[in-house]
Formats: sequence, C-alpha cells, structure tokens
Amino acid sequence: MLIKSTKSLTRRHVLRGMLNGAAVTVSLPILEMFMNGNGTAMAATGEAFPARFGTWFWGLGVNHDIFTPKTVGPNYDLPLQMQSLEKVKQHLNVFTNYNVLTDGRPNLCHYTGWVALRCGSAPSGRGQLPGQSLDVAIADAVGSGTRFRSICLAATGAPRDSYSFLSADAVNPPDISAVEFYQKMFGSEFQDPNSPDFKPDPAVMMRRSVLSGVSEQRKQIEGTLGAADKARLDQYYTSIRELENRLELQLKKPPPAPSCKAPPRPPAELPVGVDVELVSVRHRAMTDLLVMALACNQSKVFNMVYSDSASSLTRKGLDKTHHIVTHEETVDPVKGYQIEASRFVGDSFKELGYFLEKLAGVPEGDGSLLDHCLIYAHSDCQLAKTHSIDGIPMFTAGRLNGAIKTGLHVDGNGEPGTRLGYTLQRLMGLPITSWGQGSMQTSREITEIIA
Amino acid sequence: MKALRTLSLGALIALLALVACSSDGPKKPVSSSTSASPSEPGVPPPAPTLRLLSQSEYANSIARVFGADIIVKIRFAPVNRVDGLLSVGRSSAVVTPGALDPLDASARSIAAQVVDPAHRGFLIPCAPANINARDDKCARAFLAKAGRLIYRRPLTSDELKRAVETAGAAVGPSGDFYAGLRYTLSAMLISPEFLFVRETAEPDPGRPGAWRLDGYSKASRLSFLLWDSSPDDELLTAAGRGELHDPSGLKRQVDRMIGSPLYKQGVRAFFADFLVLEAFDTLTKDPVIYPAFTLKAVDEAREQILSTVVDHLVDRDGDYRDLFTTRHTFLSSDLAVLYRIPVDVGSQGSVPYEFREGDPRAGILTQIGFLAQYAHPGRSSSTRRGRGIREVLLCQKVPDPPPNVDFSIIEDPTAHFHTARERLAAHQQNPVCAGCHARTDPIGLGLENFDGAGQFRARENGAVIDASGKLDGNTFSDGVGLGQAVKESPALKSCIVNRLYAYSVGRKVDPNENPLLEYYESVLEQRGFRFEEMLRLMIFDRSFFAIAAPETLAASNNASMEVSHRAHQVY
Amino acid sequence: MSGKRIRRHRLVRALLYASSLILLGAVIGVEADDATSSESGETIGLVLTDWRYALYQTPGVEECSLGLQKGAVEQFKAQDDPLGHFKKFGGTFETRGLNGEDPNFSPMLVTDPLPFSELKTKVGFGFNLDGTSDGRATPTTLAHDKFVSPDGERVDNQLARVVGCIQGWRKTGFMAEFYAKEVETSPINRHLIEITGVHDEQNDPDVEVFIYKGRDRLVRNASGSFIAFMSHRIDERFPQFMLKTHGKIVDGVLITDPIPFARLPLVQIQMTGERDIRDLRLRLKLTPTGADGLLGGYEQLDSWWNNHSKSPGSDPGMYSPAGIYRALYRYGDGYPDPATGKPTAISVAYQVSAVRALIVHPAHQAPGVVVARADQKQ
Repeated sequence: MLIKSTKSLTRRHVLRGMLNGAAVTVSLPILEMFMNGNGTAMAATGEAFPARFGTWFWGLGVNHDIFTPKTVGPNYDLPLQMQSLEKVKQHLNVFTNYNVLTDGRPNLCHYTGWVALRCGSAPSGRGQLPGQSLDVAIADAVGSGTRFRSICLAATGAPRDSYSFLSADAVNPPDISAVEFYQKMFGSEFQDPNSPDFKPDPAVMMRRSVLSGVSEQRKQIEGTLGAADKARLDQYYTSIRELENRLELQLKKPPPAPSCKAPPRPPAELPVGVDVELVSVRHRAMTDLLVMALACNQSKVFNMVYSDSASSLTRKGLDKTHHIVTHEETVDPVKGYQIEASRFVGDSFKELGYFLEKLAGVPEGDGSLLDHCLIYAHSDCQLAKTHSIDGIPMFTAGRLNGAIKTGLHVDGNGEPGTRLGYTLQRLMGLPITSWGQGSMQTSREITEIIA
Repeated sequence: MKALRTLSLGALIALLALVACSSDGPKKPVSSSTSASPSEPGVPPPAPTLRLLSQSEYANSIARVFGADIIVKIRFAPVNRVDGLLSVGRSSAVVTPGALDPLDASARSIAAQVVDPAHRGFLIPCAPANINARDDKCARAFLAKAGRLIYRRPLTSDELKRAVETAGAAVGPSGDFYAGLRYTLSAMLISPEFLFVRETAEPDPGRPGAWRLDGYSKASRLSFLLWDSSPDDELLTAAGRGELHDPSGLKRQVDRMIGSPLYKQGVRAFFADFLVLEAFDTLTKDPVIYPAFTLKAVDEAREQILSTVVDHLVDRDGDYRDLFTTRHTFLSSDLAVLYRIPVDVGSQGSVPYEFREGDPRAGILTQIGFLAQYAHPGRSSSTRRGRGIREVLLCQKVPDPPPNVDFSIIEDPTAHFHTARERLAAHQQNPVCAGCHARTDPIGLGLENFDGAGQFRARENGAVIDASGKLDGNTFSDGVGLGQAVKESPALKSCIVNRLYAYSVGRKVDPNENPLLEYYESVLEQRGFRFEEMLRLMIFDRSFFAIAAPETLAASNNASMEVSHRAHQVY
Repeated sequence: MSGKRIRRHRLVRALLYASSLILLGAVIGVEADDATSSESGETIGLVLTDWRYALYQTPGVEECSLGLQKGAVEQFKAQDDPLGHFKKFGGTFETRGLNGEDPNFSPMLVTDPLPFSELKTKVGFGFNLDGTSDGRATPTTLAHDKFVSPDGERVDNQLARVVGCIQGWRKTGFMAEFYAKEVETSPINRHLIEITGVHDEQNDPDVEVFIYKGRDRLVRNASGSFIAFMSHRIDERFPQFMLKTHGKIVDGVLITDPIPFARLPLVQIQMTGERDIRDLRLRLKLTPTGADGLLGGYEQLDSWWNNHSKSPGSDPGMYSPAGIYRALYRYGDGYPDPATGKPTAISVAYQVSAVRALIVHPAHQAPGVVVARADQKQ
C-alpha cells in the first residue's frame, strides 16, 4: 500500500520492484481499492494512511464449548473464553469451523495446523515448510518504503519462535528482547519523521555506496556454485539489496507521522523464561514498542508470537507446561472443560486484547492505527488435547482503511482455513488468483468480511 | 559378507598400524589396492558446499584476525538442525533480511573498533602519510593482510584494487583516512566471502579426472573442524604453498592444530552442536519447585558438560564411550547447590571433582545439565530422557506421538501415583503407546533418582524409587548402570562416527558414504574411540578432501579457475 | 583498661588464637567434600542472612515514654539561637557543641534540649545473661531492670533501652535496613555457623559449634528467598574471628554455651569495625533449610560506640549521639570497671536469620595467602 503520494510512484520505482524478482505490485488497483473503502481514511495532509498487515499467534487452541459463539454474523454473543476481548470486539472477526485438510499427510502435532494456515499447505514431515508464509508474500508486495520490510517478535523470548518464513532454511528470526528491539527501532539509527530538520547523513550515503561494492563480487562467486547454492546466494544478495534500499530511504526526509512519539528510553531488561507472567510483561513491552514503531512508519508488516505452537509456557508452582496440562488435566465434570488449560487460553486472550487495544489507542486521522491494520490471529489447533486441526480458531482485527467489515462471527462450514489467508492477501493487494495446495487450495474469498 | 570383509580388513589395517614404526599416520598402503576398500573412488564424491558461518565461528574468526580485544556482540538467526547437527543445517541456510541485519550491525561495529585510536596502532601495520587524505599504499598493506585472513584466502588482484579504491574514495569530504578503511573493512565483513565458507574445487593432479578441494578450502575445513575458527596465517601460508596436498605437510599442520590450545575450542564447538546445548539458552525451571535452579546454575550446568568432555577427551585422551561412566568432572558454586556438594571456589570458575565409587552419579547422563535439559519445568521425564539418549546419542529416530492419544488413564484424578514409574506404566500397558514408549521410557526410568532439576532423591512422594531399566536388552538398576549400558551400546559408536564425520565435512552424509563410516567404526573398534584418533582417521583418509567437479564446469571456467589459482599464489 | 585486665584480655585472646590454630591444623588438607562420617555425627552449616536488634515494637510506639526519639536536627532546632550557631560554625546537627563540637566525637560536650524517650515496656527479647531473676547486681554486672520474654523468661537487653525508641533501628528504619543490605552483600558481614557432631537434629545433648567469617556471596532465588546449601568458604585470613563453643539441641533449638570473648567482623552503615561481645551465646530454631533466633551477650561499650559514632545515621536515623552516649553508660550493665564502677559492656540481643550452607574448609594455605582459584578458562 502507499506511503508516498502518487507523484513519486515513478516508473523507476515499479521497475525496481520487478528487477528485485519480488512479487510485483501494480499500483493503480491498490489505489482504486483504497478509494472504495468505507469511512474517511485520508490524513490531514491529504495522504492515505499506510495499510499494515500483522499476525498474532498463540499456541494450543481454545476450549470449544466456552469459545465458539452460539450465533453467527454480526452482534454475536461474546462467549466466556473471549471475555477479555470485549473492548476490542468491534474490531474483530472471529472464524470458526474452518478446517485444515492434509490430503493423507500425517497430522504432526502442533505443527501441521499452523504451517497450513501460514503457507497454504500441510507439510509432509516435521521440519518441512512447503512454501513461504503469507506475511512474507505480503511484505514482498507492500514492505518496501519503510526502514524494515517486516518485524518479527517472540514474547516467549525464545529464538526459534517465529512462524514467518521463506522456507525451512529461511525462517525470519524474531526479536526476543524488548531492549534489543528498542535499540533496533529507536536507537541511534532512528530518524524521527516529525523532526523539523532533516539532513541526509553522509555516513549513510557512504554505507550505501560501499554496500554496492559487495554486490560487485557476485559474478566471481556465483560462477563456482551449483544451482541450489546459487539460489541461496541470490537470497543473500536480495537481502543486501534490501539493506541498500533501506539506506536509500534514510537519505530522504521521511513523511510525517503525526502519532509518532519515539519512546525516550529502553524498557527494563527481563530475565529468560516462559513463566506466563514474565511472558506477559515481555509481550506488553514489545507491543508498546511495536505499536509506536508502526506509528512511526518503521514497518508495515509485523508478526507477534505470544506462545509457541506447543506452548511451553509455565505457571509458578505448576510442575508442567501448558502443553502437558492440556494432555494430563482431567476434564472438569461440572464445567465440561479443562480448567487449568483454559486458564492459559484466557491468559492468551488477555494478551491479544492488550495487543489490539494498544493499536486501537494510537490515533491516526479520524480513526486509529488499528483501523488501518489487517491482523491475522490464529492458533495451531483447536483442541490441544486431541491435536484437532479442524476448526482451528482464527481472528482478523482491524478495518484496513475501511476495506473490511468487523464485528462478525463467520462459520466456515468445514471449508479450508486457507480461504481466510487468501482473502487477506487479496485485501492487501496481492494479484493472486488462488492460494494453497491440494484440498487446501482455494480461489474463494470470504466475502462476508469484505466491505 | 561385505561387512565381514570390511571388518577383517579393518583388523588387518589396525594390525599394520600397530606394527608400523611411526604413530598412526596418514599412510594407507594396503587399503588403496584392494577393490573392496570403501575409500576408493567409485563412490561418487560429494559436491562442494557453501556453508554459513556459525555464531561462534564468526566470533572466533574475528578474535583470530583482530584479537580478543575487539568486542563482538551479535546474535545469529537460528539455523535448521539437519540430521542432528546445526553444522549440517548451515550448508543449506539462507540469509534473510532479518538475518542480515545483525551481521551488518556487527560488521560496522567491528570495523569501527579496529580503526579507532585505541586499536589502530597495533592492528593496522602502517600509518598514512597524511591522516586526512587517502594513502593507497598503507590501505593496500592493511587490506591485503586483513583481507587474506578474513576471506581465508588471498584477495585477487581485482578484489584488492577495488578495496583500495573504495577505501580511498571513502576517505570522503571529512577527510579521514581511517574512515575509508572502516567502510571498506565493514564491507569485507558483510561479504559472502567472509560469511560463507565456500568450498572451491580444483583438478586433482594425482588422479586425472578427479577433483579435490583447493588448498584454501582444505585450510578452512581443517580450522573450522579443529579450532571452530578461521585459519591462521601459518595455515594459510601452508595452503598457498600446496603443503596441504602433501601428506606430510598435512600431518604437520594437523599436529600443530591439535597441539594448539584452540583445539579445545574446536572440541567444545562440536559437542555443543552434537549435544544440542542450544537448549540451555532458554532452559528454566519452576522457581517454586526448584528454587536453586538459577540462570547462573544453568550456565554452569552447560559448562560442566563441556568441561567434562574436554577434560576427558583432550586432557586425558580418553575413550568417547567412557564419557558415560567417568566420575571425573568439575563443579562451580551455584551448580554445587544442586549437587549438595561443598566446593572450594568463589562465584566464578570451577574446581575438579571426582565422584566416589558407589556414588549414584557417574558419566554425563547423571549430570545436572542432561537431566534438567530433558525434563519438565517441575518434574522429571523418563520419556524425554530416554528420547534424548535415543535421538542424540544413539542417532535413532523416535516417532512423534500420534495426534489422538488417549490420556484418560493418567487423567484419572482418583489414581494416586507416587512415582513416575507408576504414572508411566500406562505407557507400557496401552498397545498404542507402548510401541514408541517402549523405546524411551525403560531407558529414562533409570534416571528417576534425579528430579526435574537433576537433584538426587531416593524417594518420590514417600515411595522408594526403583531406577531399574533396560537399553536394548541390557538391564541396569540405576543411573550409573544406565551409563554403562549406553557405553556398551553398539549404536553409540556408529552415531558418534556418523555425526563427527558430517560435522567435519559440513554437510549431510550421503548413503553412499555408509561403507566408509562402517570402515571407520571398525578401525576405531580396534583402536578405541579416542577423539583425536577419530579425527585423524577421518582427516587423513584419502577421501576426506575429495570433491565432485563443479556443476558449472566448462572449458572456459577451467581456464579462469587456473588463472585465479595462480593469482592466489601472488599474495 | 587496667594492666591486669589487659593481661587477662591478652591471655584470653592468646588462648583463643591458639585454639583456632589447633583448629586450623585439624582441618589441614581436608578436602572440600564432606569430611564427617556418620559415627562422629553430621554437620549442620548455616550462614546468617539477617541481623537486627531484637526489639519489642508496636505500631503506635506505645513502648516508648515520649514516642520515637527526637532526631539530631530537631535537637539542634531546639537549642538556643540555632541560626546564630549555624552562622558561626557552618553546620547544624554535626556541629552542635557550644564550640562547634561534633556530638559523635565529643558527646559529653553536647547537651540535648529535648529529653530522651525511655523504653517503658516490660516485654523484651534476649537471654538471661546474669543468671538472676530480678536484675540485681552481681560480681560482673550492675543492677538493672530485666524484661520478660514472650516465653516468660527474665532476660537482659539493656541495649534495647538505648536504641529501642530510635526510628532508624526499628523495622523499616534507615539503619536497620541499610545494615540488613550490608549483611546480605558484604563479605565482611559473612557469619558462618558450623554445628558438628550432630546425631539428631531435634535433640542432641552435645554438639560443637564453630563461628567463622566467610567470604562468599548470598544469592536470592526468583521468589526472593535466599538459596540454601550454597558452599561457603571459611575466610582463613581472619583467625581472630574463629570461635568455638559447645552446645545442645533441644526440640530443634540450638542452645550454645557462652563464648567468653567473641570478636566478629562488622561493616555497618559503611563503617568497618568489629563487634566485641562477651559471653556470646546463640539460641536458634533449626529448620530443614535454615534457622531463626537470637544472638546475644555483653557488647563492649567502647567498640559499640566506635562503630556507631562514625556513621552518618543520626539525621536520617533520628537520634542524638549525645543522647545515646549518655544512655549507653546509664543503662550499661556488664563488667563494671572496678576502679570507676562504670560499665564496660551492655547486655544485648540480636535477632538473626540464617539459611543452610555447606561450610568449606579450604585446603591449608599459609595465613594471609589467598587461596588460588582452580578455574580453567577454555
């Protein structure tokens, strides 16, 4: 989506997008789509607020009886397990009864579900990722024009907790420390978009020109490589070019961002650990920084992992993890669900609520930052106890500049969950006509949510 | 039958080796003539690899080039673990933009430190004529010297010319010679020629039609294996002179490298990868149940494993299998709390400690590190410990649990299980579970005298713990017995050979190479599985540096390679 | 001190030193691992984690006749012409004497316009040090009022009358908490207790008790409690702080015989010194992971005053040095000087807490030599 005015959408800009080999976004259709949106989304300057895409992940599903709303459509009843989301209900759509179909491939516990919902296809084996995640495709389309193509965060603080990937060998690494994330976003290289004076930093110019020298080595090295290694080297050079583009951006005065207020100091350092209270503190510290980073246009694509897919989260005094609880805890005969396990789910939604409330709390134009976002939140399974990948709970949040309706409960009737991912990519302007493989392949958007 | 032949062949070779007057060396007079030997060509050699540096290789290489005074603060993106090793995963790892970011920041930070006033005096071998202007002569001297160590080969004349030009141009309007060097150096440190270890093939003059790794590729392979670091000046010089193509030249360097203090660093790096010690970066326990399991204790537990390994395999030149029964180890202050052992050491460092005969602990499987790594936050786990032993130490795959497991037996709130053994009995009784759990639980139950934090306990919930179990037919009654059973397991031997080999060549083992590994195993069966022995056996095998012809080979490429090969000789 | 006393003092110290050397000899070459066999009994090790005055306190300060003591600044303001005094001498409470004397160094030359708040409660904590039921004079003590402990015992704790109404020394007070932090963090305040020959942790009529200065750190776990069973090395550089006595365990409580003359290292409100306590005894309730109880005896007035007079506590801690100095000698009840009749010591009880520790006797080194570390940095 746009960050610059139409004037700077030069042919050169579009061409460069082609040369990168990245997915090309033709500008005009995006513009039209944007214009068709509901509500006023033009900022005071006459510029559009950029559309952002984000994902939010929590592990180990939900408890159907207290999660699934009894009614479908708008004004659905907010069930017990979703109570913490009350304040943000108006921004949400909740999707139930969408399935992951494996076409005979095994249901790999706490794996198959999220892999399919992220890249459109069930994996054949553990460690296999049959495609890139949708946030990567979206970042390829809309991610240029900001300092970071995308942001990945892991509230667990664990380096492998990322569900954003190009392939099994190219998983986007998450930021695992709020302090390091602060340094990355708002440290010495941050340029305040609202700063009255701007001078291109000669050091940045120098870095950029020196980096181009790195690319000059390419032919010499490539010549000796086999096809597979050449492809890996290509990806390396793509990343170099990314860096060059980013530096070039830093040489231009950034467009103003009225809600941008860089936090003056980094958050407190936190110890390692996945105690649920510690994860909450870490999640909120990261969320606070992320929200401001978005308001300051540091990126348009973001990914947050609250808990990993086999949730290793713990609670003080509990000898087992959330995951083990889901397997060993008895179903309460009165309540009809696992009490301790559902406590963990409740904690997950408390954090999702915080996340969305924070986004909704940043004013942008007539609305909020959340109004210009499209967020895809989902888990790895529906019922962790049985690893069921039918009916994996999914949400969208945000209005995407008016392009999407909110406040709906959509029942998927057993259709593949890729319908949502497909819809979201289309809404973000990707010129795709289908998404997914085998039984997960779909060409049908979920029209109920399209404005 | 083939296996038998290989075995007897191995015995013959071993006999010859014993009889030979020099110590185990690179000579292989017998094997090369018999057609049955697996180290003959005919087994297609593997393709050259392009392997991403690891975080420790990166940091150690910088320390090698610029000294330990230069601070390297970087967190590499995690790499896929393939066939049990990150080292193998790095030969298919991709540098995403997110992964490049910290590398770029680090490159600039290192470059800035190298040229700063505190360091330039001893890191840059010359001073410019005018500090505010370009000085190509001085830039050339520094960049050639540093570049050779950074790229692990001499710069080509083109590369050096471009680097000097960049350095001169980057002196910039501010007019700072050192700024010019800084930018050029940071570009080198972000270059794929530094970040990736790119194996280069050249025709093998000794075997027409066959290819070998060129001298610099050999140097890199050796130094990353033995030192977890880039080659030093002497090794690069030897490579440039072709000495690594000559058995005695190769032996001289390998002897030097194994004799160096850096060898321990290399051994540590292998075991850190092989034993999946990355788990310690995020290992925590419930603070209510195990209050003494502090973050410092976690670091010390990890360190204890590596200290024990290095002490046993390097200082004592011990047999790898005895790692699972040795009573020698090291203890530090916070770790000792978990052992309930008094130690005469302050808050830093460790002291040697020997468990007494009859102590319930012996071998690394009864150390806090292993026990805590394969356990839950608040209790032990026989299944995890058994699985860890199977998958990591015995290279045996344990299948995932099926998705629709019935946990109702252990969910019964009226059941009062005192010990884990009682609780896990259900695993054995239910046929759906037993298939896999029979492979893991009987092993792990031998470690039940140690709780989730590795602390010793004779009882659990009042009941005396029965720590008997079995490993593939070998029964034992406690953790020490388990260590003995692991030590005697045939799979232990083939696994270490497999992993060490894959690590040393930095890629997946091709199934065609299995005969070679069986051969190694049979030789080591005779000689003992001492680590140095294993390394030498592999390094001095004629197949070690054999490589496939490059895919892109064409007549013109042939010529240009020879040119670049000659160009290497100049610098 | 008189010549006779000095000689006796020296003799006692020499005996103590000799016995500690013998002790040292006895531990030469003993490995760091557990040296006791079960025939000679087990060893319980403790390290002190908290040290406070054992005071009876109520939130309403009902135990003090005039409430909390007036602080040094208030005393200054109540003097004649404080402003003039300030102009002349440039300070306030620190130059309160008529000629600008510092009350800490010349307490008898400074007077307090505001009266001293007296401890009027009968409830107190401590030991029955003088053996009497009514606090009458004995050959080694002066007559004084005793307290009644919660267990009904008649106890001596005259120092409580000196400090008990000072806000700084009460719970959450400036000095109490500052010192508590110093006990936690400073190796000078590292007090180790080793109980050997223990056959029954609940009841044992005969155990040996050693007190040492340690040198290692205390560590808290994630919930904030101190971690038990850390190794604590004896600091062999300080044989003068090595003490030994007999004791017994009764219903899980360790009770020791008095140590005639005990020296303990001290850093208190940033001032390094030492405590000298005569007839030092311990009463500690043992638990599986630690101990709580009392440490008491007759604390030497000169060293007590030395420790307190240099500290900058009088302002934030709310007391007057002139006032407490006088109180010290007014209430002092121990070992009166036969020539002057003035006390040389004062009964005291400290409330202490401990966690279990593994006491480490380092392999023998020459005194004064620091034990070399055996770390191998790879």
